[in-house]
Amino acid sequence: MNSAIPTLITQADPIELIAATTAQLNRVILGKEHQVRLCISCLLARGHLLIEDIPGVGKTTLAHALAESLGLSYQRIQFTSDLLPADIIGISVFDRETGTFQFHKGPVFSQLVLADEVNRATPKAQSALLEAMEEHQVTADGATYPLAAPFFVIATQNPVYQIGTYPLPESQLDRFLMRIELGYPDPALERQLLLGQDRRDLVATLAPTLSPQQLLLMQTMVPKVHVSDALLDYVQALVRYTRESPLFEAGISPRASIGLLRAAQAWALIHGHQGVMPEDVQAVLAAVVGHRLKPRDETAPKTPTEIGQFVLKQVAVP
Amino acid sequence: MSTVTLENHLQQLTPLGQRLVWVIASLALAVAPHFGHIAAWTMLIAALAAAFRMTAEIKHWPLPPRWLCTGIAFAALLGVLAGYRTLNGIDAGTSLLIVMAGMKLLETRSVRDLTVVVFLSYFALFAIFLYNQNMLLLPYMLFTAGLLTMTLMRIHQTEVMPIREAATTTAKMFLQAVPLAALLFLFFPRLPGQFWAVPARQQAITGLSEEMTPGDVSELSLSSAIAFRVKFDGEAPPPRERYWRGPVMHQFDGRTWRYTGARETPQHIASSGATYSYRISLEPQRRNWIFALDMVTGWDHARAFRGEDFQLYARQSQISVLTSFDLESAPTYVTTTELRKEQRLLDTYIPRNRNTRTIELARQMRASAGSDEAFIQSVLTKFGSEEFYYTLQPPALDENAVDDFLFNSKRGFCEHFAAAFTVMARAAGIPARVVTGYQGGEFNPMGGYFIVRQSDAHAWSEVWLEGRGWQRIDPTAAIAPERIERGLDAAISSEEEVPGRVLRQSAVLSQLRMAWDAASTFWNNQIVEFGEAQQTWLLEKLNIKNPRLEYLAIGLIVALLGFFAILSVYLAWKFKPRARDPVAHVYEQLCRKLAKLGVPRQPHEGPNDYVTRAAQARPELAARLAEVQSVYVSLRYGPTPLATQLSRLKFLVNQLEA
Repeated sequence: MNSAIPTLITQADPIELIAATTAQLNRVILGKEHQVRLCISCLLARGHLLIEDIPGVGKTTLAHALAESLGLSYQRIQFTSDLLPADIIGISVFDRETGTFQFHKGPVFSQLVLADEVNRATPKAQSALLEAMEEHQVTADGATYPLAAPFFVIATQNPVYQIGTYPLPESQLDRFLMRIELGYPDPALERQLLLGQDRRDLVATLAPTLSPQQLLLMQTMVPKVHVSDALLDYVQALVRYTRESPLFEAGISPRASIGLLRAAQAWALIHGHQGVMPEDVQAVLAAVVGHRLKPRDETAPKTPTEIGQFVLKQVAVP
Repeated sequence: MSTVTLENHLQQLTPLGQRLVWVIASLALAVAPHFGHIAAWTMLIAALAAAFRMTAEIKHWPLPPRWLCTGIAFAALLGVLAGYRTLNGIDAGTSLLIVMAGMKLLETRSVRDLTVVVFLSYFALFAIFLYNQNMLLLPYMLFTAGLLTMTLMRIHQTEVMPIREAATTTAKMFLQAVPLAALLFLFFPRLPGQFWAVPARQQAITGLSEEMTPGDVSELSLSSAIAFRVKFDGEAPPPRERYWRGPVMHQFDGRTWRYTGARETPQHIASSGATYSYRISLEPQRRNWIFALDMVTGWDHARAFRGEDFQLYARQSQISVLTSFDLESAPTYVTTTELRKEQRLLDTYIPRNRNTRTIELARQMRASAGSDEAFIQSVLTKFGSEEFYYTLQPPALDENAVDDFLFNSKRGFCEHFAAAFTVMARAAGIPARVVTGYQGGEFNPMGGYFIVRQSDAHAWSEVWLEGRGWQRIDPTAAIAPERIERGLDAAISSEEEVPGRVLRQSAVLSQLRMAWDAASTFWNNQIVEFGEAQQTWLLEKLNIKNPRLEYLAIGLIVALLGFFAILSVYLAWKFKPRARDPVAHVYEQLCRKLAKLGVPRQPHEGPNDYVTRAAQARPELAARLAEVQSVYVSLRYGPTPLATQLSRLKFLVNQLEA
């Protein structure tokens, strides 16, 4: 493995690899370049992604396309109100031939797991997944099973005002590094979509642009992206603002501030910046902090995107 | 309600509500001492406003609309105007301040509004000094001012500031303010005269009056209120010379003696023997009487004058606040003035049909004595030898008061003896009058001064003898010489109540009383009384001769500005941002230049976004800006900045023409 690292780097520049991946994804998901980049940054920063939007805007397609492009094993779990933890993590079954219990791994043992409509399942099922996300391992019947590496969860969620949902509590929202929205495509792109090939068929034709090994290597590069004092000042100023502002119930946690920095590092990496720039932080800010800040009253910005934009405007770049 | 539940209640309030509780409590403390001297309705309105505001906060009621607040405030203004007929002056001003503080509560929606209420509370608190400058108020004022400052501090914190921390900071701030306050106190130009003085208000003051009816002085003697304090430069006169001269009574109607008024008359007085110079500090009184040591020979003619009867008067109509005078007196003196005819008539007049037995007795005694001097001596001997009794509780006397006293009761206080003696002298044809004032005084070893109380009130006689002028005759000295030598305690028998006697008999209590009086005298004389004269004296001590107010003011302002300039520089140095990053400095220069070129930076704009935007706005600079951007980003955010890059950046930025 040690000898493999330099070869991989010399073989292909991470920026180019990512650019190729991004380009391929953009051919499938039209007009969502920013979200695609956020999605890849999240993956590189070893975070998990929450996509919150109405059905049919391409959440599943994005997840599937990502899995195909990165050559990752892929499982989709449809969350429903009768979903049980065993349906996610697996179950021990008695093997009559050997006379022992055999653990049958559940769908969570894939590299990319799409947890579709995560807020429709009961909290019990939700927490089974979220614990696996946090621990990177599953414990069943006293035995511990490590999850795949890389391990990336994309959860989708209907906006909470829809009927029959169990909104994720703040503590569980905090486990998602980023939360993004896809939104409607703009009219010109939608026309293209209407005229073009079926997206599902398109996904099936995708070839991997990045191997899982390359992805793992790039994940190790993220924390090494240079962070200057000036940038740390800026990140801390943002964090402090969220904690001191009377507009929010609580500020962002240290886990979230680390996540913010990692996400910015990942963003800087895929954009080929030598060090993390304030713009890198700003690019990921709304996705990282938007879902963690709860507005205190009517005067505060409401939606996560608005919150992100608002916080960004309030804090000066040093 | 226990403190725990109170705290819970507080925590249920919104942050503004919690602050409001503090502000209202502070306001209440600041306004409370005004109770009694301003109209009660104003305080009631403020209290109602506070109660309403707090209820609205708890029950989430909407606050009254602006037009209603304005209406109520205007009505309150009219109320004050109707009540006092003016908006000027202390009472009306204070009432207005308190009402408006209450009204302001009705529209407190933000921290800013609360700040205004706290400032009004400061004013209301300091207005108390316009009414009362008692030293006892000082701890209360300090406490309340501290609470106000704490409240001000706490309402501006986004996080809840612990009370202990707020208190510590406030104490620190107060201590830091002490030198500045002392400087301003000592050197801020004091204007001469009564410019700053507070107009007088009526309040019950005990003291000598313009009439003397038997029983008046003994009644006054029951009060241990302080009349004045005297501090001698050097030695004090012996007790028998400590006669503090007050109003002189000429008119007599058989029972009551009356004072005729003050007229300034230049007179010749030949003094011999010791003279004493001293400072007398008079407690507020209804009149302008200065109880100088008999006979006053030196005083400030601009502030006081000596009347016909040798009484010293202040040139103002009333001594309404504690006032001091520097005087000089000579206890041994001879008045050389001729007695005018009408004066002689007045001072020998006695109502013919009153006190006839006394008149008869006096005429017999004058005939057998042979001379005026011998007659006076025989009367004094009569008082001293016969069954006369000196008491603080003399029986009531009838219309012919002197007859009743001399032949029936034979029990009296100094005014009875003085009145009886004066009537007898007049009956014998000797011009005589009653002098009221004080005699003696208690020495306070802690402050080195004498305290003269109302219980030292005294009355004695003066007779006019041919060739010798007015002579003081004190009949009390004949009956009770201890009164003159050792004071009232010694003269009154131990069965009788004498005010303060118990206090004086306990050494500890007596010491405490003296210490307290010394402290409050220091407060009154050195702090409250500090004025132009003391300031001039202080400046002379500091070798500043003939100080002029303008120079003093300018000097003070320059000194203060200098002080604050140094302080600002120090604070700027102390709290300067972390060692200035030279790269950041150059970037700031760049931002300034670009701002002049019409592309100001938004505070939240990152360098890439900003420089790109600037390049779009000024395409002619695009190439140069691109290099600036890459060098700056590499220096500030890159992993391995090079020193050469910094000079390159400086060069590039300098090249930009703003």
